[in-house]
Parts: sequence; C-alpha cells; structure tokens
Amino acid sequence: MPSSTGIDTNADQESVLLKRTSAPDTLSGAVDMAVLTSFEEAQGEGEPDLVVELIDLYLEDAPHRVAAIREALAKTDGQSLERAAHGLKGSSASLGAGQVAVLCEELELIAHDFSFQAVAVVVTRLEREFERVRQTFLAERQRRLG
Amino acid sequence: MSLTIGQASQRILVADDDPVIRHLVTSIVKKEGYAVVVANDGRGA
Repeated sequence: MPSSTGIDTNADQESVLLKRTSAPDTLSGAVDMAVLTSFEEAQGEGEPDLVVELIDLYLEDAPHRVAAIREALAKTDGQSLERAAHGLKGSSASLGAGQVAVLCEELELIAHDFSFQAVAVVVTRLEREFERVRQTFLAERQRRLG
Repeated sequence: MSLTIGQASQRILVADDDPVIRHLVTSIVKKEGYAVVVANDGRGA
C-alpha cells in the first residue's frame, strides 16, 4: 500500500530562508536618524516641519556639489575639488550623513597631491554613498509628510 | 544655549554660506527666543 506521508518541506523552508537573508537593505546606515530626530527640539510651533525643510535644502544644494566634485575630477582641478568637498562635508555631517562626510574629508586630503586614479576611486564611492543618502532622505521626507 | 529674562530683544547674526547650516542654526536660535538676522557670507553680514 503506497504511503502519502513523508512530504518533504525542506525545499520550501530553504527558499523562505533564502528570501529572508537576501532581503535588500542597502539604505541602512546611510543616515544617522538620531541626528535628524534631535532637530525636533528646534522645531518652532506652527512652523513647517524643520527636518523636511533641512532635507529639502540639502537635496537642492548637495547634488550641485557632487556634480562639482565630478567636474573637478575631470579637470584635475584640486582647488575646486577641495572647495566642493569641504562644502558637502559640512552639510552632510550636520544632517547625519556620516559616510558622505568621511569620503569628502578623504577627498579634501588627497586633493593636494592630485592623482586621477586615487581621486576617481573616492569620487565613485562618494556618488554611490550620496545616492543612498538621497534615497534615505526622500523616504524620511515622505514619512514625515504622511 | 539658554535664554534669560532681558535677552529676548537681542538679535543674533547668523552668517554661513551653506543653506542647510544657515537654516538649522537660525531655527535653533529662534527657538531660544532671539531675533535673527541672516546673511550668506561676511560681506552680506
């Protein structure tokens, strides 16, 4: 008599596990949200959401600075690179985008002895990290505006 | 930063070329009860 027992569920369990462990989490850590939350103390009554305003100002300003950094690389212009990196570092650090700030600092340091290869590597990393920050800010903005 | 009685009418100049930092500092100072004058740079100040 054939038995219908002994159904193998291992395959199903495995695929669930795989899905769980491979879930994309690319935005984690791009922005220290505690920094943004701390600004709520400075929120004025009846004023627009301060964090949203800061995010909007950053998203308006920072892409120009990232573009200026890429342009300075193309022109091997160390002075412009240093200036743009310095500017982006300040606002990024202020809003909790720590890794962008660190990469900007690295660019400031290597801008003097301009090596195209070395600068290009950091600029590429910066652009990738900035995109993560941008996505994080857009999501936070959306969340706050409901 | 804290505010004591008698300081409320004092004005503070906030000058920075970065719009994010300018807005952040302005908001903090206003929240403390000061009047704020904002400038983009030293010349504007």
